[in-house]
Amino acid sequence: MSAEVQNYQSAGNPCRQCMPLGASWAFKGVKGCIPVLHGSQGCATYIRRYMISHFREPIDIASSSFDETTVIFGGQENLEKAVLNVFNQYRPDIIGIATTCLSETIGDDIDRFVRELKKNQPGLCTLVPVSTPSYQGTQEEGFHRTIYALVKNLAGAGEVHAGEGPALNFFLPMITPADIRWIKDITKAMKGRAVVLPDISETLDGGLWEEYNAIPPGGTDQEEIKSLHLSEASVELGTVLPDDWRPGYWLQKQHGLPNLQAALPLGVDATDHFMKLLEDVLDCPVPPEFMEIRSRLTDAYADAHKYLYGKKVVLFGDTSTVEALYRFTSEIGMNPVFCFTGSPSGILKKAIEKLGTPPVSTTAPLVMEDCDFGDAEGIIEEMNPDMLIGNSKGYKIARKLDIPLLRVGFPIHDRFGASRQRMLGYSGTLNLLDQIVNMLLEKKQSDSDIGYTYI
Amino acid sequence: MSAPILKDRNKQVFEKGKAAFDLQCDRKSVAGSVSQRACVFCGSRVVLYPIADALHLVHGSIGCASYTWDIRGSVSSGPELHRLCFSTDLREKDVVYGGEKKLAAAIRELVPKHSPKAVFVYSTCIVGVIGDDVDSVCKKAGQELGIPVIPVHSAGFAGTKKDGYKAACTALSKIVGTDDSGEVSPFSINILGEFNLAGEAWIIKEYYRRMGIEVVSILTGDGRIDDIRRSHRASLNLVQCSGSLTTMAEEMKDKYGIPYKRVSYFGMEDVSKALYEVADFFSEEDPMMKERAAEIVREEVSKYLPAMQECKTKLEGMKCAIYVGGAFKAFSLIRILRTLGVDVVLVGSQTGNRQDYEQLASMCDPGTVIVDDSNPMELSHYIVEKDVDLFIGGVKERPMAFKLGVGFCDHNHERKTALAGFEGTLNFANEVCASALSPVWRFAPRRKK
Repeated sequence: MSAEVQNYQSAGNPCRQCMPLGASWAFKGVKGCIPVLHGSQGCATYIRRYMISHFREPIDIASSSFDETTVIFGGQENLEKAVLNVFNQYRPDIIGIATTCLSETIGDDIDRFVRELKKNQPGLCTLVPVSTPSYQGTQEEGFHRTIYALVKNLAGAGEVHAGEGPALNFFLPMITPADIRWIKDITKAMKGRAVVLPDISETLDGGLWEEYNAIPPGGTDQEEIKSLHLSEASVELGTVLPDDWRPGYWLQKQHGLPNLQAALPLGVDATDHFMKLLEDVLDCPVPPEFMEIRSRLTDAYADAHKYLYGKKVVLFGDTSTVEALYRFTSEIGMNPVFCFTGSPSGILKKAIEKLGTPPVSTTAPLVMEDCDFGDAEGIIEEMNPDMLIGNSKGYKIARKLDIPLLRVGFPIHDRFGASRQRMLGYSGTLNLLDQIVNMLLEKKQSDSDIGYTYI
Repeated sequence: MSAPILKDRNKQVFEKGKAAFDLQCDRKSVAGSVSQRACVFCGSRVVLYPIADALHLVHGSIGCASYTWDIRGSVSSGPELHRLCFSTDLREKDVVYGGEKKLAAAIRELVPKHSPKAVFVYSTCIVGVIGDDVDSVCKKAGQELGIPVIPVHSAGFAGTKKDGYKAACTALSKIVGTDDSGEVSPFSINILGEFNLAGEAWIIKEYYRRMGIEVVSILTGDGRIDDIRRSHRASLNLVQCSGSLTTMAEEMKDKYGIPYKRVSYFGMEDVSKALYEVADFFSEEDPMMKERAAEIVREEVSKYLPAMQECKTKLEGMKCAIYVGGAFKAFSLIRILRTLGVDVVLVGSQTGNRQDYEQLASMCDPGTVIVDDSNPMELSHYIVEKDVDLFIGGVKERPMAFKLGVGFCDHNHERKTALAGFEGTLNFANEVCASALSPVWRFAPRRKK
């Protein structure tokens, strides 16, 4: 037996999902787009259920529905049929086609299939293929690869930029619809126009309907994607990704568009930095009302600091969320002792290393990648933290060890309002701060025999 | 304009009264139709999942395990191993070199750590393609560890969800009949296709206990490997979710001579029938059992009927759509809804067979639409066309109903409220009232008119 197999540990209670989920998420943020997963029927249905339970919105994802003969003869015919049926039934503007572990394993050449399909069926809508084998990476990689594929396939084709004001392309990690709305609002308030790709702010957090919409309204218009190269600049927020996941990098290389990279604006420092970036690129000062929120936020920092000082916190989820939470919890005087992610990309370790040890601690945090809840449980028990911040799947540990869990990120399957969770900008930071402090207060109150009514 | 029904699916939609009954079913899902079905793996996973002292190991890429972790509302009175998620987590290298070694290593790592009574190894899509010999890995590990390590052949593409049910039955049949020790009452039954969602199996078990019957095993709600081992010694099998476990009941009939009856525990009418049928079966040996069943029915009905009637006065005349996994459940739902004064205008299932649909057609009023393996476009089309007030389905149908201002009751396997038995029938009526009668619908644009 090789050393690798000897050291191998199976996954127990995973802290990640597969690439096609990320692909579906990205495609759902494009206007008039239906994703087709090229594989077995189950992939599409499971991912729909998983995402619907989080977003509480209709999420249609089609499948090329493999059977035994497809596996032997290849999936070209099934894919064609799936695309034509989706086209006839939904009349979409775009069909996004993502592979799965099955179609990748049998060696389907999705790019060729799509090329031939376009040739044979000239009246079809736009088709965008992306390779997302589920035996690699995680939902995050699937998400970024899909945005990259959208940009690479479409950007550069447009000749004019629709809409008013200088446009900024925003390439963001898997953040909430409410935080995307904030990005759009602040850009607008500074006389710019945010082109967010993908924009799930309406498609996955919309209103009630007069009539049934085959495809929920909203999303990034493909004409806008075609004209991304005509914007003022691209802005990438979150952890620094490998170049071939970065549409901003591609636009820079291909079209010479400036590509600005910054941390997710969570916390005062990161938001200040982001505001400065916007001021510079849009040549417009931050409106006073936003600075008023900043001053309320720093005031809240002062009011809250004693509740937070040195409190040990464990952070988990996707890499960008964990990095942002690490920076923020460090900034407010907490002690993020352990950060973990299911992603094996190497990105989180590098990012946390760069941020250094939290001010209230003398030791660097433990950072684990490719880590599941099974691995993390013993470590958390030993560390005995005051709080966990991450997705719903951490609840089993939280319950067992009686540690409060603040739900942030994806998936949130056991709380209400996941789409409206805010953590970006001064206002989002303030919202998250309130929640953290209140959770600590609640724990202190309920653990005490006295029953304090003032804390 | 988008099309509500795909050409390929014309024959899977039938409106009663328009023509003689004709509905295609038992087909694989049409590519691109956004079927509400999952896959073969899903079929076996849902059936075996509630066995609480077995370790469920998903052999494949991580997604299949992630998406099914703690997914069902099946509760256990003891061990909770089924609520943990285990995967061999195959990566690119394994796809090239095979996953057998990882599988063997995973079983050896997990069994000493969790001491399960058995291991189920679910093969997912890529496992068959890369050619892993899962059977021999399981056999070897089983011999080494001294517990059954059972392969479940559930490659997602190898059929439909129904084939997954069969794969689960094949796996179960390797456990059934392996323990002949101990006494089993002559008045004994197994309940097949009852998954103890929100503790429903406990409600039903209590009725039978009061009748003087021993429930040897429940396949698979609050399931235990040792109970399943001796399930072949029961006198009668009751099959609730007939789509999933009829194969098992047939096999037990052939192999062990155990007769079976199809029952349902949804709705007071059907629960009563399920109790009386069992009393009838044992009436020669215990003529008083029937009286005991009648006593339970009298007592329970009088306890819950007045509140049911109150619900009826509020719901009378409403129109309802039903879309569920198995068709047999739809029969019960139609009956309950009728007693509540609600008209069923659409009914469908993911996995019904011809016989099921014929029965549905005979039960429904003219104008009712019957669908097999439907999708959001069809369902939403009929919600609007039939002006539905209430939808009964699963999580995937819920947002569709809400967007259109339609009340919704979750009757799928994620439910956290018991809907079976006499008390469950009232819970169901209350759930329906709580959604259909909510004052919030006046804010829904479609409902304003």
